[in-house]
Amino acid sequence: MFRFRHPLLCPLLATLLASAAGCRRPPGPEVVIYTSVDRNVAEPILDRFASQAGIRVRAVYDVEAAKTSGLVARLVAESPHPRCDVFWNNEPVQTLLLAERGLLEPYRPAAAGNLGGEFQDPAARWSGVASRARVIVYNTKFVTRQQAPRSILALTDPKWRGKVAVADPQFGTTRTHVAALFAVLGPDRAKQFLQDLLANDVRIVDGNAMVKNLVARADPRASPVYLGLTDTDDVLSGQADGEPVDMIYPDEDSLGTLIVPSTVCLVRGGPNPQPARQLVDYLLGAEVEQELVEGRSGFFSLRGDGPERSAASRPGPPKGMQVSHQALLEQLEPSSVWTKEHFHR
Amino acid sequence: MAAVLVTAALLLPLATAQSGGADASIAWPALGASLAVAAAAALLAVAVGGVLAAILALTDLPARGLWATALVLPFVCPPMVWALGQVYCYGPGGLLERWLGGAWRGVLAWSDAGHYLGTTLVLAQIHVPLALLILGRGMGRLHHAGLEAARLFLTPLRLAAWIAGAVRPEAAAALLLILALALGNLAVPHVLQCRLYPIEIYARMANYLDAPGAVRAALPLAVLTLAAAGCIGLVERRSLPAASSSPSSPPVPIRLGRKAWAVGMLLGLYLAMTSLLPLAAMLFECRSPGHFWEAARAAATETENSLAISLGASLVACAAGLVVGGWASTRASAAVHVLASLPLGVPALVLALCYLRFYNRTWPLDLTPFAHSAGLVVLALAVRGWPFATRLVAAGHRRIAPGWHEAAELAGLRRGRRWRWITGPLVVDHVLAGVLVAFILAVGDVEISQMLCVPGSGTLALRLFSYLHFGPAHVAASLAVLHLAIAAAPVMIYFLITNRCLQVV
Repeated sequence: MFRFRHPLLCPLLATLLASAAGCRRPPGPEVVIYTSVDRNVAEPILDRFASQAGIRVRAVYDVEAAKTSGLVARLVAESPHPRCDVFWNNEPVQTLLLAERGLLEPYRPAAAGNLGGEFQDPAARWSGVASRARVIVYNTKFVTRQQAPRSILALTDPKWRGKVAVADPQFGTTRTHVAALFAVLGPDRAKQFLQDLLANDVRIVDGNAMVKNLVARADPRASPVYLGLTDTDDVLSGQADGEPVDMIYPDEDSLGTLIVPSTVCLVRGGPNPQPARQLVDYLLGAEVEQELVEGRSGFFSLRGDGPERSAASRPGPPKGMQVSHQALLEQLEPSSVWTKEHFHR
Repeated sequence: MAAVLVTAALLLPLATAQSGGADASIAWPALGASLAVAAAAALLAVAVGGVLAAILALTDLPARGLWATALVLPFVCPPMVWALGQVYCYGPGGLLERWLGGAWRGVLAWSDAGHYLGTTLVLAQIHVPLALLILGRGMGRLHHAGLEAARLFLTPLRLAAWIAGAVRPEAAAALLLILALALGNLAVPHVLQCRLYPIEIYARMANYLDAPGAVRAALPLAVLTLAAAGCIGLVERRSLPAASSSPSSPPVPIRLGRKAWAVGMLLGLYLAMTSLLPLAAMLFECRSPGHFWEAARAAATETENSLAISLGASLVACAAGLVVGGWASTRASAAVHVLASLPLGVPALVLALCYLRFYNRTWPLDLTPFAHSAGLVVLALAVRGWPFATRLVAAGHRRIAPGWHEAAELAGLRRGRRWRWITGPLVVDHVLAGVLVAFILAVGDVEISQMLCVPGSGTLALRLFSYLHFGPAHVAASLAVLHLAIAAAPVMIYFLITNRCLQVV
């Protein structure tokens, strides 16, 4: 038989303990970073910075469900009294939106000097770290490199009917890709392409990782998906796991392949400005870039004199799509509204 | 007064959310689709849950407690993990399709991304345990003599109709509760790519950074949930019997005899299709025990954080439930009962945003130390479990016959002693159930934790969803299994200690 002497005592104690657990902090400098770069890429880099610089790093990682957006929403909500110092984003669009809202602190790290102009903000609010690309993934068991389409526009070919997957264009890098197509092809042609894709029974799935998984598991007996649009890191991680997938840089001789740089920036009013600058300097340094290029994610260097990949099987950087950040931002809203209406089920 | 204060403290952040966002429109087609899917899921869940409850509450099927505990699994599992398990198992290229081949694709097409039917079925699966628990409780209350007479004089079909009529209030309550929960569910439509209304709210807030617009868009869900809560209150007040000082004995179980095997086989088949196969698909993804332990060891810190935060949240939810539930069980405070259901109708991401905005302030009081501590995430997770705790405690209070308190008062017992000797023992089951439900909800949460967790102190759910994106796939699957084990462990321990299934309402 249970007897309650003080029914509210235990819960109150538990709350206090939980709060205390969250509050306990060892002395010394610290920096708070929010990052949407994949955790198994970012975590070792941040741990090494912590041990080298003697600065405690407190990180919040993004989750696939939120597709970068969750952290950005949190940054915006916290903006009256920020608790984050550094935002390391795996794509540029949300960073541009934060910059537009005046939530970023200008800072020009010395290491950003040799970045190309398109990979740093003229007002020094953000800098590119390394990049991924949007690629066509294919199953190597059932599609040869010669058979795989060389252009994303070829995904509407009837011979690929029902055999192509893309992530929901409302979210993540697929959303950025659609906005870029609106900017490069023009809204009418881009809409036509997307409508043709829908008419070709494209399969819409939950995220780029799922696109790669579907392609990797394609089985001719079971409504297979042989092709998909995804990011380079998804394909390279699949290859590292021994999955039968490879990629094509689409439209290298026409539109170009969309390059998706990761971006790093200081949050305006962050509580630890000096350690934050140290962390940004570190993230833009050669050591981190080397690790990102050599690592499982297979990022591309953004510098002309940056490190090259040692693995011979990995292709070099693609010819990039020529689309300005301004054009991308301008097309983001109209393209999202259109996809919301037409990809609505 | 305490109940009003607790209600105000928990709901004030929601009331102070900004209004008038950039996009003030309501996506009516998505809202309509959501309503239809949630209603269908609720009906299906109540129908299936009713059959299961009848088998477990009214028959002499062996190991009923064990069956009931196993059947609760879908409710224990975080919805996103559950939906992923279904995709791994029944989805394109999933375990079943690899076993059975493409000829079965037509049969499995319901699980394809974007299909309303698949979303409805998964939502129903998740909520069947809730219907089972609520209806099972109602059937356990059936009058002994009435049931005996019905069994003697009615055909099986008419007997079923009689039982359904007798538990109508519980069925209505389960239907409305599941409707409210399914309406606000983001995880299942997100994984199955079905564009329902919660996705609309989510996209508005996260993609367009239009937080006020998201809060505004969440209003219809909140209104529907409040309406559902009001209806539950009305149904229960009109139909549930008042507590009696001499409760009737429980009904004598219907003897199944040789049919017990067939019923057991059917239950086993249902369990296999809904729970065991998806679980097997997840275990299959783990590769080996070595891989699993490696992933579990690496997640030790997050597991500790998850346990601490969820335990704190469940106890706070229960404390708030104890304060409000006692009052909500009386006739005069139905409004509090309805208000206590509000957090069910607010998408978790919106709720987290409101809490963050409300507590991350320096005026008129400097609340930032609290906002920057783990206390905020504990409080926000507690508010999600609070409706259940309140409802459960209120149900426990309804078991207390007014005469007992009157007699104790006349005997000179003070309020504390009356609570200790009368109220406490009668509501203890309900309080424990409230703690368990709040714990399960907290441990599976992603949206609130991601918005409010202390930097550097993430949870197991957050780690799992980080790995879902980039993999390796076996790490994600291992973390999902670990997550499921942690969420299910308290329910199993409860069963082992009490030899009873979770009692909900």
